[in-house]
Amino acid sequence: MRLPFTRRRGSDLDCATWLSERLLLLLLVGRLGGGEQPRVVTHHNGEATDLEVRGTVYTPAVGDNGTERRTALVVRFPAGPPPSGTTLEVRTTRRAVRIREGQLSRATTDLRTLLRQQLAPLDVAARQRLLASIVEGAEAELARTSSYSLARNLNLVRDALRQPLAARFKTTDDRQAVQVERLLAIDERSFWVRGWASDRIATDVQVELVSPEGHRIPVLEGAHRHARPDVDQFFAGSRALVSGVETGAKHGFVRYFEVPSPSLIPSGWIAELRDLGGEGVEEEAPPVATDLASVRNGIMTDIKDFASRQLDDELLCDHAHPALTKLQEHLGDSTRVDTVTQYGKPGSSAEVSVVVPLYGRIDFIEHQLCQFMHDPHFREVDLIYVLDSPELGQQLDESAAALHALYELPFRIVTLSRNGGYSIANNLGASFARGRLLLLLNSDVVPDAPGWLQTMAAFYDATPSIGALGPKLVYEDESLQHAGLYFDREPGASLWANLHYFKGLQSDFQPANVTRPVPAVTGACLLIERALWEEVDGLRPIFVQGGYEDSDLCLRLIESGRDNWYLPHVALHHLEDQSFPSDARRMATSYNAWLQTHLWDERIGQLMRDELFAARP
Amino acid sequence: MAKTKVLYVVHNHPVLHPGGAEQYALELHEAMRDSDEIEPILVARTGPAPGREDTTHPGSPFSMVEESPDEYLVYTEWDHFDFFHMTSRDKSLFSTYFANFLRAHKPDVVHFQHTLFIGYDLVSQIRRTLPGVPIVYTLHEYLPICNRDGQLVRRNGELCMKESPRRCHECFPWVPKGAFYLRKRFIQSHFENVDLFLAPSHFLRQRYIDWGIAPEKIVFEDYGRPAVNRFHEPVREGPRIRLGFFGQLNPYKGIKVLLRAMALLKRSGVDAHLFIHGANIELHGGEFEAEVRKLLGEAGDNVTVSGPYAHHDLPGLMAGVDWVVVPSTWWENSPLVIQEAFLHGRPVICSAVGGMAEKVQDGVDGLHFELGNPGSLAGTIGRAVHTPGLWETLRAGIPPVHAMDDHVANLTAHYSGLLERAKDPEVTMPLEASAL
Repeated sequence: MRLPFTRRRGSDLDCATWLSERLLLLLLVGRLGGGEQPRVVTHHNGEATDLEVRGTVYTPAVGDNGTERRTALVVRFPAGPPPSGTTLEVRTTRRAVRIREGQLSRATTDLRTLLRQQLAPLDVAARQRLLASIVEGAEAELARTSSYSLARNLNLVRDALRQPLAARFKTTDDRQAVQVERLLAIDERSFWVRGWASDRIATDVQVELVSPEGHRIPVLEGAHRHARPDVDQFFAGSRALVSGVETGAKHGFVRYFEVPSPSLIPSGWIAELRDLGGEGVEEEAPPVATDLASVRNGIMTDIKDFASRQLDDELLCDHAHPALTKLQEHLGDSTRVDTVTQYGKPGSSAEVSVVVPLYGRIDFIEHQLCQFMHDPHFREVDLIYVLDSPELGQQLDESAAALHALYELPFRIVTLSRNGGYSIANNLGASFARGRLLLLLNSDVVPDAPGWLQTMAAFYDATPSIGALGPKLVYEDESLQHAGLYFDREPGASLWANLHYFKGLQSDFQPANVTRPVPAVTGACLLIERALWEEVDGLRPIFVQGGYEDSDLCLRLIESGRDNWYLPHVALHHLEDQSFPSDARRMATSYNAWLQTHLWDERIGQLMRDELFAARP
Repeated sequence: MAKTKVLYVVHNHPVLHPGGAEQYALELHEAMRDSDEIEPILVARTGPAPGREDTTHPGSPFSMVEESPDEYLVYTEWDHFDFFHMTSRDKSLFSTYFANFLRAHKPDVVHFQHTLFIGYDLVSQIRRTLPGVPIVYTLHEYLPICNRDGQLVRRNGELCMKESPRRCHECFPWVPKGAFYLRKRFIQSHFENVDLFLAPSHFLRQRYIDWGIAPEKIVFEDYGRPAVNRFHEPVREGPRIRLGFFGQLNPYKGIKVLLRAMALLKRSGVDAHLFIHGANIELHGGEFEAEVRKLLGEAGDNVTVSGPYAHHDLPGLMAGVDWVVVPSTWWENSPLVIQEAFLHGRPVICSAVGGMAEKVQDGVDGLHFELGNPGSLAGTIGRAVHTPGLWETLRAGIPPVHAMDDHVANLTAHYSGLLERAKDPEVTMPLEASAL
């Protein structure tokens, strides 16, 4: 049988294949010489155009048309395959090769065939060089287009050219082992990895992660390393002859990394572990998690497992911070307002807009409306519910219509396209506000008596240079939930935590019933002038899962010369954490506390030295 | 003068299912028909019940009770009912169907007997649809206060003195404290739209005041009973040893305490005989039913189980007993069986708590025993049957039962007082003063 794509006599072209619409892999006979990067020029209708090109020289496998060396080039055609009549010229200072369009299309084959017949039989070194060169040659195009089919083709190239390592693993007798436990995509180029690597003899090993598109990431470089007692324990029963094993070695690694061009294929990442002599093992990583909520939970878990509560913690500073900053940005960018539904006739004079995010539970609406109905003022309030759990959208539609029919209070439902989190929900909700004042309200807060919002608004208007105003919040057992928020840290601790004055004490405890400025107030019920809110750009969606946005807002208000006030003669009940899975919040807290300290350490320290804000006034 | 149109809302119609509060509600409705001042309309809830096929008309939950032009049934589904907040999840029941019904009938006063299987929301719907129409609500039990079937009894059977989110959470550990707080605020919010609460016992009134109803909004008004033809009291020689138990056989009614007492009496050779006129034990089933059956076996031939009875059977059944025993293990409100017993001249032996202790005076018209204590009950029964002349003395001490005519007159006065006030907020109702 005749191989269709072996070299034709009189031609310098061996064969070619399209890696994508614009990317051609070209195999030429012989070296181009000169050792320099060749130029590739198209000639069409007398017009010469220079193309982007990457290339490498390799030696064909023995027995395949002698031992004449070959050149592989990745060439980018900005406008796709060349029109007929085009001539392709490949040129170095030493040699020029001209290929007519007809020759090219005759020599073009599909990628799988080319890989199987031409490249797979090559020796290890040649394949490695070729792989690196093709990956590099495709990088810019992949970055420009995020083309999934290009990624698929690169994955085929990688699988054909990469030299697999041994897959010994998971018996206690293995000398070398590597495992990726978690691989999370924050976006197509930003990843989070957690795993461990162990070599019983070599102390100096390297681990490379190979993306499905062939990128190599030396994952241990700059990674956060930590002990993995579970791994130590697993190998403790080994019968293998061991020397040089470091007890308490930091087998574990966690790392945030970026790749130069997108990785689009969700499965097929491979971890390769090698000692200095090149001996190694490999292990396939689990499929990449791309759902931002799962990604965030994964990162949170790793922080919980491996981060310290220090301001200079390396995992937090070098990995979690850039990863989560990017993730929160994406969350914000990808959260849109799907629908805005008006129930009832909006009040004619919306003095106050009330924004209530709904997350996980929508039944609180009924409890709030059931209390608001006694407040004639609420017929004029611009009440906005923001559904941050879109999966409950249909249920909420039905419920909202029924509750509006029953209570006859006007309100709007803003439905988000995805769960964006507390600050994004509030910001998007507030963007629809019509009121001069804006109240952020949690869904699990219910007022004690009518008139509360008017009282707050009147106090706000009467207080010069006020920033945020918060009322007294009380638990269902009548103990204090909120009487103003302050910052504190244990002696010797580096992270500031948010605390509430007198939390848990009886609600009429005298010092908790003093109207006064406080460092911050809770976002569970926070009144602010809308113009001011817009001036400071609302809540910053940099914190995870809610919790510190309110204090961050208040700190920014102080920074801009405002005071935050606590108003005890308005009281509401706050059934804290009913609407929130507290596990997730606990995990997020350590990062958020770190981030707040990272941003505000000095300012908070200065505030808390002020007599006025002392925890025990 | 045009009659005052009063809409009565009740959770069940006795033609469908027997029950004390609904029986009273129907009697009141019937008595009001004869009034010169009141034109009553009754709406009783109905719905699918075990073993029965009900129907409703497509497009409306309302239908007539046959041959009674002023009696309606309103059909609601079990599975639309939220038993925690005691409200319908299907809000169109209020905002569409009841609203239309109210606009069609335009009652001058709405008087709730019960909102079970309907929902407290109806109170607020009436306030919105018919602003200014007085709303009266008779509290028959403690469902608004207590999630344990309104019994005010804790998980271990202990009587509950005070609800709170924490204590309720202890009783129902799977329900968070905050949910109990919201439950109470939800019910109280709707109750704010009620103008006047009626409490059939002072005990119940005080419990609701403790719970948060303003004292001036809740007045005592016992159930009124239509006059009965007293049977001729046959002359009997010898001790009065016949005891009667009337009512539902459910775990709160104390039947187990009574049967244990009967077994003790049998062992100590006291001659006493108990007739059980009760129904629905099979509804409670399981352990309770098995235990009752076992205790019945132990009490042996000192106990006769006669099963369910119709309301019109009562005079005959009362004639067949000397004492009526009310051994409930919860507070009770104003048990209708005590009124029945008194109407027929039967002294009552009851637990010494709550509404029972209020209605029965120990040593005057009946005897008290320690709640839940079979020994105490056995001793009391022993004393009752062995003390010569005691039965006659207690029988003579029985006070007159609140007559339906007086009840109708009182309610009519309440209605007109509320209507006056609705016209002019300066008017103080005479009956409010009596409540303070």
